Amino acid sequence: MKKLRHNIRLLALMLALLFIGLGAYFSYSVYFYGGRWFASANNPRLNDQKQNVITGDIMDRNGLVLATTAADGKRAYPRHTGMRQAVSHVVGDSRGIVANGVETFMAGYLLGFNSGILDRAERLFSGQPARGDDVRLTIDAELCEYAASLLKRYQGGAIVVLNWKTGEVLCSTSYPDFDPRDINATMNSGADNGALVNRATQGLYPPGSTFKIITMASALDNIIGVADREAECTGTLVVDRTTVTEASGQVHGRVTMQQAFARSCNTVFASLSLELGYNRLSQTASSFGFGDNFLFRDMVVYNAQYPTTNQNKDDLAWSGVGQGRVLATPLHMAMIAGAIANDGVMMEPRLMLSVTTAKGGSRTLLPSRTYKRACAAAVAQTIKNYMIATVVSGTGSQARMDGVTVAGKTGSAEASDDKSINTHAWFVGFADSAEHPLAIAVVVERGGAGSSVAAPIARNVLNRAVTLGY
Amino acid sequence: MARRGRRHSREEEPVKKKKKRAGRRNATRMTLSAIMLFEGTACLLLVLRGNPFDWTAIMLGLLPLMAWVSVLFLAKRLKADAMLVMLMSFLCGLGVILLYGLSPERGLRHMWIVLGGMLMFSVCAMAIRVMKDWRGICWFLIVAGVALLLLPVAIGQETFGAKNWIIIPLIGSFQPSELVKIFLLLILAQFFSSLRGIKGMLPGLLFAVACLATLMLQKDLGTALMYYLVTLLMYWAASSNLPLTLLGGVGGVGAAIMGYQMFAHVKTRVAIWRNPWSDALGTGYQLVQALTAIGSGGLFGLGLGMGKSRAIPAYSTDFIFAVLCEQLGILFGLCVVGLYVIIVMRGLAISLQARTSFHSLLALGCSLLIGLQTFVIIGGVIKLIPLTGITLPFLSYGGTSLVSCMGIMGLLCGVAAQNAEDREADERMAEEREALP
Repeated sequence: MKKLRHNIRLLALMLALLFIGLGAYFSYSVYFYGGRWFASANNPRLNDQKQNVITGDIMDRNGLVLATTAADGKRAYPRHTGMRQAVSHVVGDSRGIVANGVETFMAGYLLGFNSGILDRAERLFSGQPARGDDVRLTIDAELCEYAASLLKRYQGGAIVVLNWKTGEVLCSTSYPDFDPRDINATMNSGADNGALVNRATQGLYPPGSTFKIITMASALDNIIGVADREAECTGTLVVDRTTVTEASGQVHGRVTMQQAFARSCNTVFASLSLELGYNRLSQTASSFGFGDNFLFRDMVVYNAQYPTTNQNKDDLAWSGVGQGRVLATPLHMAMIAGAIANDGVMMEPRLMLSVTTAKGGSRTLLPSRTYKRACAAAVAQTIKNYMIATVVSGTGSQARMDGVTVAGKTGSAEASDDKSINTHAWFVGFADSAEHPLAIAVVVERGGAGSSVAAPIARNVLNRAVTLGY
Repeated sequence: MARRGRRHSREEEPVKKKKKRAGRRNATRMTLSAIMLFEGTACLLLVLRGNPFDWTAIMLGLLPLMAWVSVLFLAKRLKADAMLVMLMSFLCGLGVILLYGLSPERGLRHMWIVLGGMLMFSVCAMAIRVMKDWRGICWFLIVAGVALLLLPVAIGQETFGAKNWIIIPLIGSFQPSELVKIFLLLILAQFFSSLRGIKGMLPGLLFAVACLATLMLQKDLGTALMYYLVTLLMYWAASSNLPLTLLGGVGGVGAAIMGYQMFAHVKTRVAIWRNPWSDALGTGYQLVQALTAIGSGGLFGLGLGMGKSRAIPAYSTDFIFAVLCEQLGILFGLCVVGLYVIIVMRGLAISLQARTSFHSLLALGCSLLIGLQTFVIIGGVIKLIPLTGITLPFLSYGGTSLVSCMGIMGLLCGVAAQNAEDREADERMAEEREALP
């Protein structure tokens, strides 16, 4: 009996632990995923609620209406076609065809699910049709429209501008886009260009040479005296089965680290990553958010990948220059640039500026917050200097602006193994100025070289943002 | 309690005990009033919900009455644990209310079955106190149990890939594997309390193995899992034989892996658990709908009978917890989980207080079964573990399951009453001894 009682106590402990685990998991998943479950396109309650509730407005940061409910109950969008299409992915559509647009992701507000019990009771007795909350976004529709116009010449791409101090997304646009007034036409056109995909948050691209920011950070962190090193660039670096080459066959000769970074020397960075090894490089990558499960409050961003399985030396060398199995979204790359600008502190991206209730009150939103510390302030400072040098005298010279110091890194990412298609052109950078805390990421699909295609676009967008007062 | 009382001086003792008893009675009354108020309000809300008013819902006014009767009459007469009876009554009432909101016909049927379950509860509770020797009966139960389990194989109906139903005239559908759960607990407690080691336990183990084999034959894997876990843990508690238990555990894991390889639907279940969203409109539909329902409910729920819980397939059985969370909120859902934990812990306390190893093992088995069944189904609904199609005790719609769960509670309360009786006898003896010169 004594033994039996002892065993019963142990079983009680086991059951208690099981249920504590259950409660903890339930609370955790509801807290982090509850909003996403609710906003899923598979939720039939959203469509039901639309019959009973007037969906609230979506506005840009200056109060410009991006989507509203017309008198006939249908959703109406801005009159100007360019603007309508430029923000189409961010706003999304009311049927949830575009994944994770504001229309579905913030439906809790727009459809009044977040209204309190008193509001609901009042509505019940007054008999007036309920109206959801109005959501004001952090984006500037004018800036988006301008940025989108720069992409129209190319096959596709995305531009993200965010405030690196607060994390507010000022511009997010993706091309090809669609007309929200006639989304069916885009769906039925049969064109396989992914016009409904928001490339800024869900397009996973190889980051190419822009990943050298992370390789550099890892080297500065782990290899003593790396900043004072000089390296010899012979144009090729033989690894096990592959040979790392320079972008267009140049030979950089004897270079300092800063020169290697500014001229985007592949062989130097490939040998750095071989020196660092998978453990250290992937550790730095994960501190910059690679492999993280992004659970931002305001938006869904696809997770960036750094190879964790099947690690071999060839992949390691290529990963140091952002090729192989490394993938990231433009928004994430803008966050990385922002972290360098912000002394190594990465802010959580925000898309919601304020929420106004139907009665004119406003809902409390949680303030901006740090997402994580990406690297030490000293490391960030060194990389910042390298990035400024890149714009002053390196591959990013076309991003130079008058009056504002721009720091940046270009990239020309191979999207195929056999060079049969043109490279994706990248520019990732920021304005090094407290008055204009802007971080930017530009990707142009199959656009060619980052230095000649993406960098000028970045300069123009930053210029416009500064003119608009950001 | 008695032991603690002895530390005080003898004069104080009767007064204190009386006070304590009065305090407990008050607490019982308060809780009962709260339950009745909850059920009454819910009934009123369901009446007002219809347009014109849904007068059939007035039938649910019976619920507070049933709670009152079960606590103040049934529990008192049977000397059952008032707390357990109250919790059971509350959960059953909650089940009726939720089901009525989804489908009035099912809600009412559930209520009548609760009445039947109260009968089963009383029978089980009384049986434990009246019967002193279970040996003969257990041999009979073994034969009856195997026969009952084999019935669906012979004349059963197949639903959702499992063939575990039979149709009985007048009563309707009937799931023998639920009823045999009670048999299993009694048989295991009887044979595992044998003092002759593994030889004495053998009949119980063989019965469990036979049950498992038949359940596998019916492809009723969820119930098989419950039988297996309860048998394994009770065996360990009774024998403290770790090597053999581990062997059983390894065997179970092996069987699970084999099942995974053999049955396609087990493979799908695991894939759904890992990512239901990848096939949100196909195989993952159930779980995706359950999760969106939970997410839509938010902290405080959409309101009783509101929302769109009927979008979840199997809303009245496997996914009743998702319905609960959608309508009454996640906080309420967590509280209900807490209630189950209280039931289980109370049951284990009863098992610790029992005087004989038969009673102790029986109470342990009952608590384990209720606890594990709750954990496995709620864990499945919230995507903690792969989903297994079993019922949530007291809440899920399903006659046999409800009756058998209430029967199990009856066994538990029977043991508690036996404990109380034993304790009183002890106290009487102690008093008599003190009265001696």
